[in-house]
Amino acid sequence: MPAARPATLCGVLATGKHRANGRRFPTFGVAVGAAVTLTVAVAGFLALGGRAPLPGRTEGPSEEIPPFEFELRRAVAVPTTDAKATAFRAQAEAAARAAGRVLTDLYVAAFLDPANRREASYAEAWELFEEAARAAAEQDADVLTAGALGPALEEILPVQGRLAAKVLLDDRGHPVLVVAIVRFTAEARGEDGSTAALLSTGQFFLRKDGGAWRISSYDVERADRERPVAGPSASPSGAAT
Amino acid sequence: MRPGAAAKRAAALGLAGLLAWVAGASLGAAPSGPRAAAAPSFLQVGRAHAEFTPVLDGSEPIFVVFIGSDARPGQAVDGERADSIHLVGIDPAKGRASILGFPRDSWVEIPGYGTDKINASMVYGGPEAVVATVEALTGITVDYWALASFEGFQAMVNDVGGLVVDVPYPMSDPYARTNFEPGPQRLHGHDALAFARDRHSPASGDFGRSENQGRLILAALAQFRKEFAKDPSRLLTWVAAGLRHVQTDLGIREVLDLAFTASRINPKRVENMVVPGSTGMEGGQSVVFLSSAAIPIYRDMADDGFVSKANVPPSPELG
Repeated sequence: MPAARPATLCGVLATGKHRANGRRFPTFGVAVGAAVTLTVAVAGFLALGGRAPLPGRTEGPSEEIPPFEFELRRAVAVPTTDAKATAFRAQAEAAARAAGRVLTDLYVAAFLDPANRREASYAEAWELFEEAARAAAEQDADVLTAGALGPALEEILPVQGRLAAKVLLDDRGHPVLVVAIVRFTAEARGEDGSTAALLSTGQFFLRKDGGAWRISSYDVERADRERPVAGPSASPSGAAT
Repeated sequence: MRPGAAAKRAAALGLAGLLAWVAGASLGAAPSGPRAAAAPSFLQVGRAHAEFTPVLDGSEPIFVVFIGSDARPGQAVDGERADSIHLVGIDPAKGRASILGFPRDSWVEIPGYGTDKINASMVYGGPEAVVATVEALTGITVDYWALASFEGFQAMVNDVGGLVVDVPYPMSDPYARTNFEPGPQRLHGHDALAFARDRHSPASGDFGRSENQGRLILAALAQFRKEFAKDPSRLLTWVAAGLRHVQTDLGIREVLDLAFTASRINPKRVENMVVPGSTGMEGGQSVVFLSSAAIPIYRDMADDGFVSKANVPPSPELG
């Protein structure tokens, strides 16, 4: 079995040094040979599949929250009077954007904020739920957040966040309930360098609670996929900022 | 330096470099054992599902009176006789419910107005008088009422795409315009109203008709629950359809709470029944005298909104 990566590089260096101590080469030649050997070995390691840092990434864990915002694709008003839905487009869009901000905060707190992830502590996420829904949400942490695996993840980068909304209006045309249908994709990298594509889809019901939109109900599914170890780099291009 | 030594040294260095390249490349290209083994364990790979539906506090049952008005287009919906009256008891704690229909000709005491047919209570005092009459009759405190006209009922059914109703027996009535074979079928507004109004196809007349109206409530519950499970956002369609075409003393937030609660009620745990009684004459008009056998039903329902099998009367039509 091959040695782990740091030992491997040390092994190459040690081999060179051992040879340098041989009788065939003088000291200067050994130094030059070792330098050439090291350079060539590292170049070979990187060129043929070594785990170079992916573009835009650093090798170590980043403490920064990557930019992310749900992109609103569609907002539909659902009036409770005989008025036409199109008459309430502006109200529906405003409510959908407000709901989108809450869900952006949720996904940032639940997946993208390294500080929360490292501690596997998602209190900021739970505050976005109505009190009646909070306990259930905490029990569903493994689906709604990076979960207990958070500390094992070096990095999560958003790939895409899409949101469509249906907005229920009262008889005066005021939004009272938003159903946000979301699709969130991201790429996660583990401490060991392994990667996976994260996919969270579902519906969130949000109601006004003391002037702020809060999540009152949800139906969410996670369908994550492991990526090949030398997988392609991810780009957060879909994440609107 | 001897001739050829430089060449040998260069060759040796080249060979060492080649070996180092190959070694480094092979180590870089091949995943190490620990990395390959660890990959799945670090990441949540696979599918998982989480859902939460808020339900009303289960400590108390909820009672709602559903009223179908006899009002025709242009008439005040709450100023005409009540064509159908159903008391629905919901037990949120156990996700079960009861539907209790009152034959419209039931001869009862209408608080403040004397004795009359139960359907006249709405003419006397609107939905509030219907509620007061039901409360006086059953001893149950009603929380809310909901009232629909013929037109409103049809529109509501159409807004949700029709209801799949299990028609219990052949129905053919030129007055109500029914012509149904037995079995499950999707009824749109017009046909659903005809099904609700047909009192000639059921042998037990108004009793069977009231039971069929309860079947429509059950069909709506079953369909709503199914659609909600498949696409929760359908709740908005149902709530909007209800609020658009039904008068109620429920606020929109209470309607939402009830809708979420309804999504947790299994239609198989809903008892649909009609208050037992017998027909007779009173002051020259045909009326229904309710049986004293109804008293245990009321008591059972008052307890938690649910009527246990032991107290459920036989179907007026199917026995």
